[in-house]
Amino acid sequence: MSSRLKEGKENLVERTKIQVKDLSVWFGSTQVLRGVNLDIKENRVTAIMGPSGCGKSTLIRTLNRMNDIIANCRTDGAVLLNGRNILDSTIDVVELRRKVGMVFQKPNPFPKSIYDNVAFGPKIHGMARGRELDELVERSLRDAALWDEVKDRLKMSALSLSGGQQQRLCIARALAVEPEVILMDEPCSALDPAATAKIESLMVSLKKNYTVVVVTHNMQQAARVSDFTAFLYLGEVIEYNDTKVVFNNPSNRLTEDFITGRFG
Amino acid sequence: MSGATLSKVRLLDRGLTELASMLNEMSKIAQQTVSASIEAYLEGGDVTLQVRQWSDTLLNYYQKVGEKSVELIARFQPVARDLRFIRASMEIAYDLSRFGRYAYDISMILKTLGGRVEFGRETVAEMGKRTMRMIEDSIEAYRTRNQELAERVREDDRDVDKLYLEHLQYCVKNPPRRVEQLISDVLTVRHLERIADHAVDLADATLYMLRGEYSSTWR
Repeated sequence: MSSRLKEGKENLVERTKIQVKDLSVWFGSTQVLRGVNLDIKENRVTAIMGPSGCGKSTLIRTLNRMNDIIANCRTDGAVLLNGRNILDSTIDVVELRRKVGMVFQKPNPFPKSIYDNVAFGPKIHGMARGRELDELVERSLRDAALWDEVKDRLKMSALSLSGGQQQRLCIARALAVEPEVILMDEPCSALDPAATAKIESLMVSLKKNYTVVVVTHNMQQAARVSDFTAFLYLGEVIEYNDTKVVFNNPSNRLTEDFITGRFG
Repeated sequence: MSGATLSKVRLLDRGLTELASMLNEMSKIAQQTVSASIEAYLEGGDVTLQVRQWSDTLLNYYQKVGEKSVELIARFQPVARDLRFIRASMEIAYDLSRFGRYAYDISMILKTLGGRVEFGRETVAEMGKRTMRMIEDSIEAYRTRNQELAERVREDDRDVDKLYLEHLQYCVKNPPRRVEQLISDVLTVRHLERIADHAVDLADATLYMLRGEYSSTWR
């Protein structure tokens, strides 16, 4: 990491939450990621941007082994979460995904009540029940900035909510299992500007308690919400730095051409 | 690295071209404005009306550059070198408008205090020549994105500052009998010194645009 990056963070000691080391990923014979190295900082929002097909989603999905469900996926290198390699075959993937939650592009609530959506994870992990579960659901909905809008209709179907509310419900669902990291894959691409603004505000407030990694096509969103930005191109990290530096004075010409709309 | 396809047209580029065009026009007017006021001071002519008109035009352009810049930021959310170009353009437009204002102030000196000024004439001529060259160089550095030339403007400013301070000391030791000659002279060299400072600001804005960081030197 460059010294300029460290200086830009007001002398805070940045702790690495996830260390991606020389990560390569193949789908069949196609190599999607090529020797990616990335230090994702704790309690910060890290944005991953790049043109379509550059490997953004593959990278984020590697961070909680979502690529495991793809039959011909092969991975090389290491991803250290709190210093432990999550690609190791002995890792409990269910526990990993509790620690590293994920929010997807399209809101995908279960066809259940608002309450049951949030309570689902804690129930199957045996984390809470009864009054304790009620409190956990409320806390998760509050943290996702949705409580005030749904507190009087918790038994209603989650599918009755608006798109933006459904996405915040999905975030509440992810928070309910008390993760350490939240991965967001284009979380606002299906939302209108008002709902997008709420999710963006939420991303920034979530970093107080969680490490947030967001994949986005929207460069202005990366500029607004993130502390660090990585630019991926053809499966390689071209530039990774303090977001302020990346958007004011990127060091790589390819990054500059991408963020100024000269290609992509 | 291959595979990137460069797009030919960006809507933002139209606005950036418009900004550059306004700055080019301002540059021409600013140079002729300062030049006319120095010449009139040295020769004892009255160009107040003409210089006022040009100065107003520069001020008008400065406001237009600001409006266009804000519009481009609001509409396109530019980043990196596009954003730096816009910021630099706003600052350069300000410097160019200040050239006009100081030129007008110089032209007003003779009108207010009267007559051709003999005291300190050589210094005014020398400072005027150097200041004009700094203006030309700073504009050329911006136009051609020439970092070396922009750096030279900063160096030239040290010579102008030295001339200015030495001349003030000379004035204290050798004041002319007619006080209006002293006032005219001191005001003029002061305005020229400030014009030179704005030429440095203009060059610094060019360097910022090219390098992404500002010099922190206080003048």
